[in-house]
Amino acid sequence: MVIELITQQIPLVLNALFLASVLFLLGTGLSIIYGMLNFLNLAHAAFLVLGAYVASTVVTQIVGVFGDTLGTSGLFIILVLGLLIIVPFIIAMVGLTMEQTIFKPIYGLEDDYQLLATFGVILMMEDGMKFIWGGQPVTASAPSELLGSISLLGGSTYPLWPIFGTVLTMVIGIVLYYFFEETRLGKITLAMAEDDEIVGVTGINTRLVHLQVYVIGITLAALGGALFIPNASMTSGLALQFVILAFAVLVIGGLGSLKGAIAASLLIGFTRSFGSYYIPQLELAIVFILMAAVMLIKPTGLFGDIKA
Amino acid sequence: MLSRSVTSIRPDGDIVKRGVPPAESRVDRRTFLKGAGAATIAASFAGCNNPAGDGDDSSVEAGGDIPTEPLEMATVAFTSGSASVFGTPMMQSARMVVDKINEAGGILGEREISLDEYDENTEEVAQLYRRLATQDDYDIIIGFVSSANALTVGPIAEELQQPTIIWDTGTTELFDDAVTDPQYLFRTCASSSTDAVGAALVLENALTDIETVAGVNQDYAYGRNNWNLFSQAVEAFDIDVDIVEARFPPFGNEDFSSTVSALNDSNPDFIFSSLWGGDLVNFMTQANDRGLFDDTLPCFSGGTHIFRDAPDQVPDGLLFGARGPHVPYGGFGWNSLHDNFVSSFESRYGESPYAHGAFHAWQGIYAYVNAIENAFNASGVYPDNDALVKSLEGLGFDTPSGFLNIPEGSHNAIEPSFWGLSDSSGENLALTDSIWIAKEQVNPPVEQTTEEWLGNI
Amino acid sequence: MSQDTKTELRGVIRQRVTTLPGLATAAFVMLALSFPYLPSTGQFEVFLVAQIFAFAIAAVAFNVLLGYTGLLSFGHAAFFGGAAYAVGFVLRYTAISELFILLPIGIVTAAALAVVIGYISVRYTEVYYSLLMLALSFLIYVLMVKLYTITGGTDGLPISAPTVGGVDYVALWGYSGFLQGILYYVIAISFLISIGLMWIFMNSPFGLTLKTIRDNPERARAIGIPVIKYRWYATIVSGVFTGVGGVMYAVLNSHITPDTVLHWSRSGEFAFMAVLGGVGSFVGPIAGAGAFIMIRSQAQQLTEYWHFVMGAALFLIIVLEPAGIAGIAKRSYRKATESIRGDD
Repeated sequence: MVIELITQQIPLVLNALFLASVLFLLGTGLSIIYGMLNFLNLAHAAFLVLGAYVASTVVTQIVGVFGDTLGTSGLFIILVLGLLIIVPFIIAMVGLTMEQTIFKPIYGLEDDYQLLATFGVILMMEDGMKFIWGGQPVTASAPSELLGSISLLGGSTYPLWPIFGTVLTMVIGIVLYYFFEETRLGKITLAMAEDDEIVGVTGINTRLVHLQVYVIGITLAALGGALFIPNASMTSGLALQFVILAFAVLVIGGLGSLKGAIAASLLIGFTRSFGSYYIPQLELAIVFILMAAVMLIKPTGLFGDIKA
Repeated sequence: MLSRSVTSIRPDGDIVKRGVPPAESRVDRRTFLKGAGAATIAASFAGCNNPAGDGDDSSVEAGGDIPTEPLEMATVAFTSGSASVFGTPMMQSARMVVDKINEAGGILGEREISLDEYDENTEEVAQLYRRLATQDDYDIIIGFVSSANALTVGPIAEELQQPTIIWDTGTTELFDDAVTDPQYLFRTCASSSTDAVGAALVLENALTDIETVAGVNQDYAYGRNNWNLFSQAVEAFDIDVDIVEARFPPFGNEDFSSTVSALNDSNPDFIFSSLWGGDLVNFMTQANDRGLFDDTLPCFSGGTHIFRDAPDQVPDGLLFGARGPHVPYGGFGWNSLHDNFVSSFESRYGESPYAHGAFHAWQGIYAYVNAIENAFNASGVYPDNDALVKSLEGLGFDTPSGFLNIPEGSHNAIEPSFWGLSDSSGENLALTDSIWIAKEQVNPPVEQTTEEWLGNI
Repeated sequence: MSQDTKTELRGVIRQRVTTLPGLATAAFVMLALSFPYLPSTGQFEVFLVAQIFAFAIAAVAFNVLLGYTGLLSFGHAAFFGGAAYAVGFVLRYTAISELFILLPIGIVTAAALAVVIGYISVRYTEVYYSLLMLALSFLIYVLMVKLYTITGGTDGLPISAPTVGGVDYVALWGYSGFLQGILYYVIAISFLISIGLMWIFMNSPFGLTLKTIRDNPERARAIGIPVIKYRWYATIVSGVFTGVGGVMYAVLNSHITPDTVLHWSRSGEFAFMAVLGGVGSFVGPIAGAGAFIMIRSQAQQLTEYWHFVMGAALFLIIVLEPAGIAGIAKRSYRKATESIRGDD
């Protein structure tokens, strides 16, 4: 009985970790772009959706070209490389183009206006994606199928892809942490978050640093989409869902805090996974309750120090 | 994949029958008259007759006035958002049907149809509907997928005396609560009763090994309506199963992993589900990954559209319905309209009409056209709105999915319940081992609401 | 021309110019009241204009917070939909169907929600305020979806035509007579009264205090203004009038669902209307509501990609003309007066 209760929790923990991974990739980008560049981008989550759509195309193409010639493991490796390199690269290019054309004019605006202008951007992006990929659900299950599944303690089957995605995200998290804490560029970025004029005076090209942070943020969201889609599907209209989740990570974790984004993702992931298992009536509201609760108890978020 | 405890359907042959519902063969004088126009149009669809000539003949004989200006028809369905999985094929089908009719000269071979399409994805459906009905002054408005929208426009249609056909919405509340005495409002597809009561009857009469049942339905009106009807039917027919779990994941959800885990842990023999769209794909993917279907037979009442959207995610041997007998492949003994419809759709759009909405659109448009033609053929006068309404009441005609009729005294078409097992062995994904239940068994009698009917069984 | 006559002429022109807004207001009121009787007005136009009025009440009320207090709320659907649902519940569960009872019930509900939600959220500003409002209002949305046996779930509630002053006009004149002869006037007059009351509020010391807080909260605090309290009051005023808009919308639309009145995208629309019209102007959001409804209605007829059109409109107005339609109007007004003065 007790053993059964414990084995029941294993898939829930794995579900929570994978959900947290996607949320981390989604929320961290939003958080660092707002925290360090002071750009509040409501459309940030649309890059995850775009990443998922592009990933589905990339996967289909790779399977079409290499599906018959390569063995299982060879195909899997190519697919993962496609998801981890080609997808972020394409999104980075799209993101940079958008940065040059439509985000640049709104950098100087107040937060409220940035929110509203980027709300307009998300509407445009959604219809743009619908134009390319249609309104029907799009999938890319090949990577997950190739990886297969394992038998958990207690006999239940569990797919390996979410576990793989979780491990991959941990690696990305560590690299990010190293980047911001240990590298020169990371330190400059952190300094810029405090005062970019002073950094500018020292002769550093702040615009370049700015672009680098922006691209890192967008790329993380794209990776989130690429890891998400092999296990699910993407449909037009889901972007707004991710907008809410991204902002939940932002306010729960605190602005511009990597630690905060990790904590918030885990908190949301576990609350949602266990909450919707044990109290399914609350599934629709869980994220919002969590958001309101954290804001009321600690307005700056779990790890934020910027005053509300 | 196929180690399910229940893999074969054993229909009793009395209530649940094998095969596909037949087209109507018996023709009495009344249905013959009513069917004359339908036959013409159906033939024109099949392209094996000269319908324009026929239409001319009949109009000359009858001597009535067919308006010379084109008939203004508006169709409304989701062309954006998640429900476009139904809306887009519906619009495609409607466009194709109208083009075919116009190629043959139009209604009665003479009156062309001018078709305009509108996106249902709007917060202001009352505004949209009022514009179509009063400012743009359409002769007929055919549309609506969402139950909230159908319930909004239904009373307005009556208020504005605007002939309106609801072509896809399933909610039983439409005629049971919102518009209890309809004059101008019709529905040319069956209510959710067909799906939910049908699934319960399948359970009782074809899947007698099933002991435990669970439900997964989206947390919104359609999902709730379906599960309520299903569980009421299980009780009403006193079916010997235990309902062990009922889950209502949010509508538009990307993560079903906890729901799947919960279902895995309660380990039911059978799952009734009205999931559709991206939610269904996400649920299927995550359920396949977690081996949910290894020892559970799921039954998806309106999910065949994913045969097109996510064919890789459809394992063999799952039970699917299509909100009635609306599948392009599988079963045997379909009529020639069915084959013509499927092949025309495929050659025009390069994909199969797996979404049941494509068939519903066919039904909606032909219900209207047939009603006009029948009224004209019977009286020799092109019908006004009141004559049209009379003609729609009691209308019956052959469709690609068999014989469809709106019973006398009702404004709601009834359809047989239809189910089959997913099968990827052939050239196209199909529903094989198909079974069906007569429409009278799964729909309330005209004078009763669905709730009253289920309460009285 | 002598110096004297020049000054005199200036005086006359200045007088005319200063009363121009007054004249425009009078003309607007006349047009609003006679609209159903204009020769080219059909039933749909009456419906559309009434709907614009309902949204305009909410948009101006929304701007009391955004424009005058500097708070961007993503939760105003709670007040709009809360009032609408109060009306729906009364109609469903009681025998009451009198508009002059339904309206106060809707207003009291919106006020109660604004008191509670406002109390919690006004301690926050900027994106935190926006998101907290979003989260709190979403909980009401969830309640309406979840308690479906009581609330009708996502199918919502029908709003049957109410009696007005005890008279069942639908029975007397039919629905279209009721819509064009009574309901339109109820909504138009509610609109005029609401706008009038809000104008008085905003030009009273109360409104001026709000502006002080918006421009410089620190300074306001320093001179002894209870900043948070005033923000709370502003939220209540804004919520109450948003509720008036919600009641009018519900009665006009004759059906409400959580997605049409309580979803946060509705709050986003109010923001859209305010920005489109111009948040710096009191009357701007009225024009914004009208323009929003018209643009969307046109875009939906033109293309299935109308979300793109709306997104582009929102983006472009913020980038190119942050002062909105009011900004454009003010500029052309200034140009016009300059050209008159140029005649000197």
